[in-house]
Amino acid sequence: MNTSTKELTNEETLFSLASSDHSEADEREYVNYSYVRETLHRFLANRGAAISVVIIAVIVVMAIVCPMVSPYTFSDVNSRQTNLPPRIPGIEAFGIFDGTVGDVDAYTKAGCPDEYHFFGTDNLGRDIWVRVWTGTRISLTIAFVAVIIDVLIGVIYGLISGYFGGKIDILMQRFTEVLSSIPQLVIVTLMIVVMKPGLSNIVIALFITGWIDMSRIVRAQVLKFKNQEFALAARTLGASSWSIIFKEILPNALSQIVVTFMFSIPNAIFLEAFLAFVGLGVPAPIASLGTMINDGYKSAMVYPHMVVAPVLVLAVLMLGFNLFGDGLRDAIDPERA
Amino acid sequence: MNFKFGIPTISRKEFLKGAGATGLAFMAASLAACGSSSKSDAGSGSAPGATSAGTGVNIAVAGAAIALDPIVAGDSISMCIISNVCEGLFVKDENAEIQNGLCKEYTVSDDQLTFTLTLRDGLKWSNGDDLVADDFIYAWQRNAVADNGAADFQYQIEMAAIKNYAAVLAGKADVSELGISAPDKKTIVIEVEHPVPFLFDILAFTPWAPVQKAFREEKGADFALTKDDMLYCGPFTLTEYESSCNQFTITKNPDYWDAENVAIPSVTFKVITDTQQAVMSYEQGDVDYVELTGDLVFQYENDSAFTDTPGIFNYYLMINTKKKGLDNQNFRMALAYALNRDDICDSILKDGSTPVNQMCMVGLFANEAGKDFATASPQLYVYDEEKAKEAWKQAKQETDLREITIIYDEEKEFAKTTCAYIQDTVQKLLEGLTINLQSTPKKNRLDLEGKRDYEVIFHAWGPDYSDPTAILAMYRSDHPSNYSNWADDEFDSTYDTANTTDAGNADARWDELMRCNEICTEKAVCIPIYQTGLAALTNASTHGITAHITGIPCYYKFVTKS
Amino acid sequence: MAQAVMKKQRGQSSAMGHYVAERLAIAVVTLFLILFILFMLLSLMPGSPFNNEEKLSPDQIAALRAHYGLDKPVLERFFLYVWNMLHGDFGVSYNIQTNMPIARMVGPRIVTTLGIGFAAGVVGAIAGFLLGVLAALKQRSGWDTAATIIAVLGVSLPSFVFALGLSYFVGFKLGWFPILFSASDPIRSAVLPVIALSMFPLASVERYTRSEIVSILDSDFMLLAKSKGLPGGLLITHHVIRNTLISVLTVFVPMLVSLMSGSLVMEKLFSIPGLGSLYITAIQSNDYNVVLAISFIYSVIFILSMLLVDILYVVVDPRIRIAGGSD
Repeated sequence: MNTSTKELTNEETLFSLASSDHSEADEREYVNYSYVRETLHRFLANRGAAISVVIIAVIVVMAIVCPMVSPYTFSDVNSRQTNLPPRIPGIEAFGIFDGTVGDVDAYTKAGCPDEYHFFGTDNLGRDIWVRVWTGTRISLTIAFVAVIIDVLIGVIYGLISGYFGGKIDILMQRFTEVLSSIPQLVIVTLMIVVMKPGLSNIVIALFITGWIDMSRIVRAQVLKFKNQEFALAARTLGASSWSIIFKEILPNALSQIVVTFMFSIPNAIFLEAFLAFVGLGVPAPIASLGTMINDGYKSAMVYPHMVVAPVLVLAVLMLGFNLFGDGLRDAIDPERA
Repeated sequence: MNFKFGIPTISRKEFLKGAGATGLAFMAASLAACGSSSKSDAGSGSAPGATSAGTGVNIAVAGAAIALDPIVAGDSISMCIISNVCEGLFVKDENAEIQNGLCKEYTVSDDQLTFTLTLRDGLKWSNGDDLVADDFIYAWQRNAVADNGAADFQYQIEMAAIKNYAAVLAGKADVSELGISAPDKKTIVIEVEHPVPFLFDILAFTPWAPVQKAFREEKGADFALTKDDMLYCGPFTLTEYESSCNQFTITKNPDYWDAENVAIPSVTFKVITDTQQAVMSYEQGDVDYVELTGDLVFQYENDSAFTDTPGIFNYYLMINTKKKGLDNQNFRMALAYALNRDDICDSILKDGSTPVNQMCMVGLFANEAGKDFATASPQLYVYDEEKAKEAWKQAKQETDLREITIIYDEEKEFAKTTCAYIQDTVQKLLEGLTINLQSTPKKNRLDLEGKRDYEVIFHAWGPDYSDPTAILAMYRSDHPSNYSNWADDEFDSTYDTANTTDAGNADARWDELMRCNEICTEKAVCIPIYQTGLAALTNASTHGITAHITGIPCYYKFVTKS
Repeated sequence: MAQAVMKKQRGQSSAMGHYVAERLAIAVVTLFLILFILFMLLSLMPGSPFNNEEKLSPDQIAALRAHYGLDKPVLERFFLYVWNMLHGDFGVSYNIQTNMPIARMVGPRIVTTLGIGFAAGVVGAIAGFLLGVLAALKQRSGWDTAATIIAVLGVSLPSFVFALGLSYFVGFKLGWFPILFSASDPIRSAVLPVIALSMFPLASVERYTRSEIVSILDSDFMLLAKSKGLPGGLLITHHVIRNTLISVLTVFVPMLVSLMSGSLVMEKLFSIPGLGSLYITAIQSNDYNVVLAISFIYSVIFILSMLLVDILYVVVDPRIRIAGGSD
């Protein structure tokens, strides 16, 4: 709490340049900072944002490294070691995560008293630790690819639709209305029939309607900004439409785009999980966090560890993205901080 | 339209207030509408003195009923409701023994080709009309001609080998020429083409329930859509049934011929889509009977209320035997030997499933001596790593197929698990073999198998009546459900002999069908894996709830509650 | 420019009326287009719409197709469908409730689904809004942190985690509310699903509210109001809350639409006979008429609420009107 109050006063000092600190601020070479560097500086000064960077970095590293260093693989079936509870070396001395069910040591019972499955094993005896991190990899890949495509399409669509207005806008809005009214499940099912099911299909399924929300938000932002003074000024000065769109409006809409982007990632992961829920997830034996959660949820009352592990990773990942999004927004748009 | 002109004249504050109030009113109205509609249902529905609370039985079911028309519904919950409110000629008691239903007595001719059945005295429909033999004849005739487009149970007429059915189906004879007749109001005469040993078993099935012609014609397209569009003649009547509700109730029918022996006042079916929630409801005492799935079976295994009986389905790898490489018997044998079925049942599924090494299921059929057909059949291809490798070695020389794709239904969690297990273990055992898994929507899978456009499918088949032919029929070369594209002369001829010339000779038929079972198992047309189990929890106060493997799962007239 | 002036002179009222009428006309065309595309897509779906498909012979399937008129060319079927629809006939269900007219099948479910979705949206929006206001006014306090945590949890955890948790602890262990939806006790039995379903709107509304209020607090008119010496309470209610409502409403309405389309997870967990699960089942089992009818309902709700959002923009935010007027 103390540090954050300090930061607050610092910031306030920055804004009240008229005060006695005036000369000091001048000497700080503050004016030499580029926009990006300044943004980065503000971003990292935000404690939540800094933590989020660490969280995301740790998860990404874990997702890459863990499956590589573990003695287990995500697909190795071991029918003698199914449904084992979590067991972690070191912590087991405290009586938690010691691989016991009630008073029975499940690991000894399964004939592997020397093994350690940090998150336990699933109903095929596969190591959940490795599966969770492999799943994180898959989920992140799916979400990122899908959301980046969303943003590219959505922003351009929204900018054009909002800025030019009139007939173009009406036409484009009707198009999105029609598109978003076609159930995703119909599209995905049809695609699975036409193509082989797999990662790329799920990505296509996610962005085929995913960009619509983005375009709608960008359009709303454009409507808000396009008649404001700075845009009018630019237009009066003879700036071209494209220059107004990309130089005047887009930067102002950026914070909203970032927020939406950050919301889109959990949305994409959840949507993938929904597809998994109706059976259209990634095919076995690979798993995404979504498919793992949906598989584990069916045994939640009997083997809670199967669902808790992926949910935990997912929640921490989302926490990271949300804090990251908040921090980025505040840094890009200091007025709002 | 008022709205559109109203906007500019009201202030924002008023608008927001209005919008808020409208919203709240809408919410209240929608919930109230929900409540009142169902209240009126309950009011008009429940017969006086009989509520689901009292000593009625509550059953958790996983899905809603599909239809109430006896020749339409094919799902177990619909059949359960229909057969308990529209009793047929025969029923099955809690021991799965066939008992007389509306039929009082019957005689069978010496050649086993003519059956004469007599109805009980004083049978009444719920509208007060007499229930007569013609109601049965009409019901069966409408099944034969697929009244209202319902063709799901036409095959029953064929299985029962009713005389002239082929001609009727081909349009060469009128439906009245079908081998069924009612010489008087109480007598039904059935003529069959050849002896059918399981005829009474079939007659206990839903599509053979009576339908009153006048009522059916009066209702037209509305027939059997709601509880008011049906006539009842069973131990219960349907008193609560809304297409959009998650609860159905059948209540004791005072006019039923055996009403004094119906022990429970009502049965309520609660649609609970999630098994974990259903178990919680059971623990809370809201339901008396719940069927378990997956890990819950393992968890309740040692509970005193736990029962485990053989289930209805056999799961197997269905192989498209016309595909190049898969037409090689050694290839199929290698797969058959490579499956560790004990491991799948005991370590992976743990849901009461049992390994299967031939095509039929335990509990499907037993002979006079009580010998079970499936158990007595030769058990081939028991898991054997050495034999699997040997067959694989042979297969590798005879075919260059090294990669197969197994298709499974995406909706089934256990299918995914089992296939992942098969993929991992078989790939490790049979060196050089690659197994791909493909999950697909069920409708797509049906389409693929219909077009015979697949390699291997993780498939299930359940019998409709208690006879090995309910399973073996689909391996006959010209059967429409012969999805494995398989043809074997010996099988066809043995199968035909068993069902025509030897149909009346129980022992010869037994041996021949067993030989059929052996042939298709031996040729590894399909590779059996396991038979599902049916695990359930039954409240200690409730007795006699059954889950028969074929036909109607449970006749609630035999259920008691203390 | 000249056009804009003329528009202004014609007056806001008739312009709005004209706008709404035009949008409604377009909506009808859009709906027709949606139906057409859907009809075509559905006709491409593999397999037949009948139960027991596996055990039927090709002849029987052909007979069934003929019985339901599915053997006719797609276009003919489409126009027949639209014609019947205009006469209030949405066809019958093929396999979910065989031969049941769609209107009787879907109608009662609409009420249940809309009711629960609407309740969840309203509960979530009110709670989220209050939390957001609190968090923004007491920035970087314990309240703010708590609200942020709730918001992050709300968007981070899959809805079934709340649902499962609520039904297990509140419903099963404590026994305060029924764990299954029951039509005979719709209010009490809807409590748990409504709470579970409201977590996401709560979190989203909280985030938007907070960020919106923070930016308003920093805006010039607030500085002006502050310098005029307006008392704190009035300041908040008059300037901050009102100005926040616009952005919250524009976020809220689309969210409400998605809530009202029914949550598959909630319906499955609480056994709610709603539209969401019916829709999924219908798509998976090729019950074409059910898919078409529910899609149609969704599209109508969706298009109307988009219209509502645009109108709300004008009604709630005076800046847009002024901006348009002073063009």
